[in-house]
Amino acid sequence: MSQQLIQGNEACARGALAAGCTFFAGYPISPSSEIAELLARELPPRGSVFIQMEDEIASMGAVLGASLGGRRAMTATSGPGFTLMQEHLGYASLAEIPCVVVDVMRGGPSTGLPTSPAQGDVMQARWGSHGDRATIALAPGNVQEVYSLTIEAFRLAETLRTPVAVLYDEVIGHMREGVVLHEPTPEELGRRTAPRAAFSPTFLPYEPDENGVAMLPDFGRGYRFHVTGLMHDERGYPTSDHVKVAELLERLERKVEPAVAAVPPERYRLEDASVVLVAYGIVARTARAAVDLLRREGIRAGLLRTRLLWPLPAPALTEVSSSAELVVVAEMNRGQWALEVERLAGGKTVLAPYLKAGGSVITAEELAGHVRRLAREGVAVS
Amino acid sequence: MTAAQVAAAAPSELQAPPVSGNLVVAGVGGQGVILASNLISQVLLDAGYDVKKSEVHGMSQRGGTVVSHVRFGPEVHSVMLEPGSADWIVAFEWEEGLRALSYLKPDGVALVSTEQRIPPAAMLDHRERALAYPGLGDVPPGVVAVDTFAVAGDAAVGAPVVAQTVLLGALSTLLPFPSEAWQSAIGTWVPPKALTANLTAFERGRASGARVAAGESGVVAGVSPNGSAAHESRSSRAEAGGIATAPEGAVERLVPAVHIERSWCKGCDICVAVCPEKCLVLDKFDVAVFAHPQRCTGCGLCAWLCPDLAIDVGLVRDGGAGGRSS
Amino acid sequence: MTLESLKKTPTKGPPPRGESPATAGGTTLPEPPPSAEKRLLRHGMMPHMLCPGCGHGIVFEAMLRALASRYEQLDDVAFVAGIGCSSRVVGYIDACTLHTTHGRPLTFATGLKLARPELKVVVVTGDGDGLSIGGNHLIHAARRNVDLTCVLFNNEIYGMTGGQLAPTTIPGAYTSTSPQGNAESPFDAARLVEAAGATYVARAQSYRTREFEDLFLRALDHKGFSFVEVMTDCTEYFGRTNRLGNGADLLFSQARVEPAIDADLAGRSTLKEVRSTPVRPVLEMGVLHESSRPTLEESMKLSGAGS
Repeated sequence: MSQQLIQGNEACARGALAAGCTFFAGYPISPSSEIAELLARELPPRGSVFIQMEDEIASMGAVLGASLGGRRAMTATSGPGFTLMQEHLGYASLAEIPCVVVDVMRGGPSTGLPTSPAQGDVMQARWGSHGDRATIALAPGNVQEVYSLTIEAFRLAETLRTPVAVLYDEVIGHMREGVVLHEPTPEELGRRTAPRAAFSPTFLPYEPDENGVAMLPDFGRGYRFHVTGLMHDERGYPTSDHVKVAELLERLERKVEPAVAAVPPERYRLEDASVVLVAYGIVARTARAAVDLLRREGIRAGLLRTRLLWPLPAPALTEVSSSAELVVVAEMNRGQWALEVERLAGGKTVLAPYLKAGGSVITAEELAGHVRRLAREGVAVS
Repeated sequence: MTAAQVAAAAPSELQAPPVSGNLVVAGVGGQGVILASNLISQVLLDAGYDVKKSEVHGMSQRGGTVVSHVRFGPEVHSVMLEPGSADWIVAFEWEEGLRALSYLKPDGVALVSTEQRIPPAAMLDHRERALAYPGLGDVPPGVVAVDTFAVAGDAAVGAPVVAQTVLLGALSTLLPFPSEAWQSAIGTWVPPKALTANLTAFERGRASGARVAAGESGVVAGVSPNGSAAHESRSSRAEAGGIATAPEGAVERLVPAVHIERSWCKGCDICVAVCPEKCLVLDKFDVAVFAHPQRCTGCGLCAWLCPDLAIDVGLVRDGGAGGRSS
Repeated sequence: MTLESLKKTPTKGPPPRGESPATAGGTTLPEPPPSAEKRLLRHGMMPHMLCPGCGHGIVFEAMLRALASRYEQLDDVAFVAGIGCSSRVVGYIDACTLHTTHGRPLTFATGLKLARPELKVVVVTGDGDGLSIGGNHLIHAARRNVDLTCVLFNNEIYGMTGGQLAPTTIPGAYTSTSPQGNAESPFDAARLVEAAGATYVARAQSYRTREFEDLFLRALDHKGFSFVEVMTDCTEYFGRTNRLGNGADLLFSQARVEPAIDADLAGRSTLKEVRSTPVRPVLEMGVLHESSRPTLEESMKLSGAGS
């Protein structure tokens, strides 16, 4: 299959179309607007819906309404818009409504650094909405991956009945690379489970299967049921039964775990590595170059590149923290994911994160220099 | 101190002031739980204790649970009680009293009103005719069931909330503070127009507390220990006694009929007020009753304006047991 | 309730009834059949959670009656609501019902309608939900002329949260956050929505339920954004705080909205002075605006639009 030179944001829109997205609602914001612009061109001729809403809150509301109507629905935004979407993301988690939200990260807080790259929304994706929200967040590291992980985001959202976020930074969003736009297989597309039998008054819309996922019939196809943001029982009726509520929250957390196996990390020169760089998104690319630099200098470096931020890819992180002498989490923020890795490592290894917030990308030389300095100071590294 | 020990002890023997103590005051919205716990706190404060009081009330305006914890001692820090740490429970409603029992110490005393405020949700299952509400049959250990209305007598007529002051009277016999301290607190917290009735209820409660102390049964008045039958609830049809019988052997003709879903009716009074023929009344449980069917013209105003969707109006064949037998 | 018992209990079905009313003589009083609208209820959730005398309950039943005159079963009608007392009513309707977030039901409804143009979508909102936190969405839904029917229950107060000031509270009224009397002026919701581009705008009262039913049915039939504001009473907070009497008193006060009384009101400095007189300003009732232009779905050429 031939390669096409396309932009990250375009790859995202192409991925959404390939994944069967037929509904997009959004609000303009840099550096994500190209996704909306491309879908505004592509969706209506296919009989699909593109709508620019009055704000990001409304965009997310429309996406959820459309999803309940049976559409594969998405929106795309950047940090400030992602903030406005948080209440509805929490709603979607609890009411279990599939949808995909793309956040092309820029510097923050507030209006911050529009169109400068950052990885500042990692924790917002996890804890931005109130309450204990279980969540899935993917982090593509190149344009090809933006395409494939957008498709994967739809698959996870639809099969697990949950919102899925795709987080990448401005550099990836605006970068152009040769990309193969493969047609996804039915397995790669996935689909939400809907009841086959005719509607019965005893239908329980929130009765989970063995994987903790309940069936979701479309609105207006003969199944009459209630969807609410209140804690609810299997009927979807509001409940304040403490036991039921605790069970529900526990199930929602368990439900997203399959994402860990579905989106495995990439391991680069890890076999004998005593220094492990851990990175995601754009930083993983320079980290890979840093590994090569360090190897040439005789430092046994390797890279664990995660493509999944939430739920935490715990097995891989535990593995490197038990085998490596030094783990360096490199990210473009003041230390969001690094603290999670430190928590998981539980003191088993030396952690020396390399953090950079301010709008420019971490370079390979910076990162290699950080490791060299640590080596000089005698922090691990043989 | 167990209920039996209370029964064995005369108030005069309870004179040594406790060093510290914990109380739970429970009930439902509108029963004056907060006011009562304020009042108890006032007595304790006046007696020189450090007092802390918590309030938990959410949907109380709609008859939801209201619980107040009162802690006193030389110095109190934490305001919420652990289960099993209350010396006394004062509950204005039967089920709320039972619900609060987990807070009671093994030797604690719970003064629980036999008043039943059955929440609508407890009456959902009409097919089974089941009422998810505890009967008065088994009085758990530690519980002194008090028929507050019976004890209050005429003091509570027209002001049912006053009946609960009886429990404060009963409580006062378990605590070593003079009657005047309680009366003064009542004077501080109760609105002037209700003062006399509350003082009367308090005195009657105090006297009934003495009767408990003097060794009468755990149930203070009115209700036999297994006497749930004596208690009617909002869901019972006991009110239908006032309804006239349809004329016997009438020829087939259509007459208006009204169905009132008792468990849905919240007693707002709108149907009673709007009925042009004054066919409807509120019974003593504040539930609308079709009291005068012979006057009904079937206009349907009551059904149109019922906020609870509790009323159906229709025409049925005249002649006794027509209509529906459910 | 356990999961097993939930499975055994149908969530829908014919209305259950309490015990049959035996008379003193042991014979049975004739019972009317359940009203037609009762078949559209989710009986498992009744009785509803509204306060005694709440005007929302009256409007809710009137909505159901109108729907029952049109639909045997609500398979093709979806109900979307926000947060608040009014919005809770959709949970009692045996249909596809969506109880969303505070102020945002119109955004969900817009998405749902565009996703499934063949569905009839009814939005239930309140004055706080629809005009305060959700005011922006209301004017935009009207501007877009999405084919939705929006019913706004206006009780001039926040009931669910305990009787706070709303953007519809009349000047001078006491609420828990305007203890000195409301210093602000209210929105005229119907005129606001009309100005924003709605193609059907009506106003009704909970007291005149038949008129509301007609206006609501016309709204359902209308193609484009139809808006029905219905004035209802909050007995527990608005009524109580302003000492206006019980549910029946408030309801009757709606019946006496006359210019003379309104003029009299204008002369009073506080609501507490008027006590027994009605408090609402004179509002025009009935269809306030009706026009025709393409709906959003038609302009987007979505299949199923306009059907």
